[in-house]
Amino acid sequence: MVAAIVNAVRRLRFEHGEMTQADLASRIGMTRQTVAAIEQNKYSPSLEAAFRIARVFGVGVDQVFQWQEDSSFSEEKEAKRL
Amino acid sequence: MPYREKSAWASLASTLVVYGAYFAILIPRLTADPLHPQPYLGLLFGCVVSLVVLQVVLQSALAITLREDARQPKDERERLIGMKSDRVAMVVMATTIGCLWWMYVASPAFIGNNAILANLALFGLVLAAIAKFASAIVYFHRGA
Repeated sequence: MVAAIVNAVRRLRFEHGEMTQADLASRIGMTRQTVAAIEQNKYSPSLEAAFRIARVFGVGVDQVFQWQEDSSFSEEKEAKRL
Repeated sequence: MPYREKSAWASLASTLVVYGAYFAILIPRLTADPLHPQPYLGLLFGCVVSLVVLQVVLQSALAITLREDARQPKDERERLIGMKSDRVAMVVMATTIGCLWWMYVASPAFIGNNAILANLALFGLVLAAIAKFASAIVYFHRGA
């Protein structure tokens, strides 16, 4: 079993008026490439950046980032579970 | 491809081209019998100047074509990639210098003369620079 930090940034962007990666990046003081890396789970941001992202979407950090023990985690599975 | 990744590619390519040429010219000179009268000082100076000119041209061209990206300060991921690639370079340099020291202690005759010793040390520095740029590119692709 592989643990990983997964996130719902992509879904939240689309739920917030199809916000672009560049727009989100400028609002949290990061580059567009870093936002893309976060969405692809290639980079886990610092706690400060995680709070900034959550604040942009007006949700808690736990609604953006989750600690997942199972590597087969996907947002679709998570949505069905909820 | 982001600006800083392209910048790492430009640095990697220019280092490989310039120092590749340097060592390709140098090795026959160092192994020649009798030894070349001035095997490497002029050559090294020329290579350093070439590397500086090449880097200025390539990095300026990138900064002009990707002006918006180039203006942005490094964010936390890019700083992390910088630190991780510096660590890789440090390990490569320490290993090379360690090997060089071991070769010198174990078999001074293998090293031969000061010109070879100095250029093996330079090779370690070049290898560390290549490792830094290459690992930065890998981290940009694979994730930091």
